[in-house]
Amino acid sequence: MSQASQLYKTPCYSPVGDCAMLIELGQGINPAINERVLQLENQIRKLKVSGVVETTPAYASLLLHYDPDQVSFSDLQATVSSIHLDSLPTERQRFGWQIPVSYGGEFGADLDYVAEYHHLTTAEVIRLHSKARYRVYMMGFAPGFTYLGGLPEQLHTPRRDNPRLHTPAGSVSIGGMQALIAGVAMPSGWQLLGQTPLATYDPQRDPPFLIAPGDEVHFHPVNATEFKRLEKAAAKGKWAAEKVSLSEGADSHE
Amino acid sequence: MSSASRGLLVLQAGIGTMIQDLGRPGYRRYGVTRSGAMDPLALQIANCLVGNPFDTPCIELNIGGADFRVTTDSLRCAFHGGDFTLDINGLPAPVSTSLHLRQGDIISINSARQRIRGYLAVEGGFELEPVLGSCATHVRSALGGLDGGPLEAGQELICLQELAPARKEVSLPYMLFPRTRRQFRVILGPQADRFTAEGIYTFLNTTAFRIDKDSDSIGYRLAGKRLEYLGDGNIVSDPVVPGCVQVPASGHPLILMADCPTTGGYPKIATVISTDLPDLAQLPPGAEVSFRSVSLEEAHIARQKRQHWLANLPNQLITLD
Repeated sequence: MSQASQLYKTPCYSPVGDCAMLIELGQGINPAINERVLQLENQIRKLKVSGVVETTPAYASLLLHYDPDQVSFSDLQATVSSIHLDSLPTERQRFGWQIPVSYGGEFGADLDYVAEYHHLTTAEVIRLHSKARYRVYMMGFAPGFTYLGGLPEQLHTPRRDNPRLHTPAGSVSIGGMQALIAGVAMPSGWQLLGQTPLATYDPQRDPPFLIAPGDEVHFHPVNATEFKRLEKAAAKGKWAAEKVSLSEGADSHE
Repeated sequence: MSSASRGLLVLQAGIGTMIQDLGRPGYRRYGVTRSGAMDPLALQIANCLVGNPFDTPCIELNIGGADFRVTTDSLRCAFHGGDFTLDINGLPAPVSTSLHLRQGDIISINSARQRIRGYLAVEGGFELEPVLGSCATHVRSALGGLDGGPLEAGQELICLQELAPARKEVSLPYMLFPRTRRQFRVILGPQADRFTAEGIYTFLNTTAFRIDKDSDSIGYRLAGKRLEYLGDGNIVSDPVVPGCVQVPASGHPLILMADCPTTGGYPKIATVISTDLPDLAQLPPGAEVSFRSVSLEEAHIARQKRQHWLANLPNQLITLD
């Protein structure tokens, strides 16, 4: 993963097959670049740009899925390049999420390894991981997979040599400089620190997704009893993580 | 049979037998892949044969065969796609043809060899609960279908239409099938600049990459020559679509297919055009493929031609007496 990040002077537009346009605004993992990606996405959705059927934002790029019967690549590029991000107010609704995590043991099989790797105690790993403020850079890979930046450098850990064939939904893990909350059970090579009872994705819930790119995430440790209590409450629709608005004028403190 | 049974009972199903439609768009920004039929063209043809809207959910078969018993008074169905063969009550029956069946009839679809995706459409469709706007089964995230997984023996699909109205049956003649290919058209990029000139040359001029046995609806791995790239071969994760040709550190290309993730961290040398992807999805492990670079204009012309062909399909069907 590239550490150096850079905002391009002008975005780079390239076709991804015949029905999608990739707009690269920069490279690397950087909150300012990611914010521009989300601003651009927001603006394209708001303007209902003709021919755009879906948008997928990522760290430093935005994919526009378009219908070539409605708009040509060059016309779409012209429309998008005429959007001046600098003059736009940030009016996107953002939230800060308080997410409980049960660390270690059956919930986080790699906690001991990560502690050992960095010559830390498990308590120190938990403290470092849970006191950081994370930015949601993107949702990707699989439903509700929430990719977070802001992992303290002392915890940067390479991925496992042998990926696990099964990791549960709600897994809270780290890989390289990134942190992750898993939305569904998946094979994974990331280091498992713990698990949250919060379902970042639940098709039976309205809305199925809670967290969005650009939001902020804070973790706090809970014990196994509390984990099970929250898990039960969530299943009955009686609990979802606390959130506060981070939009203009709002204080991020609860 | 009780009057409560109104559909198709699964007697036996290969592991890849599942409900599919044209996919689940609109949630990629939350990590939900579009998924849907591996060969959406064949699914649409199957639907057309029974007079359904083209996006009606069908039963998709992947290589393996399946047997069903009709448990409703009557139904009209059609099977299209791949080189599967069809028996009704043990006697050979035509594929790509609508069939009027009665309660107790047994549909046996025999496994495929060289072209491995087939679709069983039933007039009026099945009673299914869409998840996030679609009935497409995405096994990896347990979405869609009856319970998020493939169909299993003992499960019953309920037909929305209780009786098949009497009318003449129709067939799509073999010579009208879209032509099949082994050379697939691609648009270079979006990270072709991450590869050496030699890497790109190898990709476009290798006459036979072989589809590896370790291939599925998420991705087709290609065995053969390695593609040389610049740098460490990792990029910060960016969005991907089916058809993207990712090249991981091994240098062996991986073509993303219908069930692929929404993002990926490997450079993409090219993307197979949407018109050719259904045909690629028909090929089994072991098949050999090659690639040819085309312009965006050529890809759009191919797409338009295909759309006209599909729109005109109902007029192409032959009515059987």
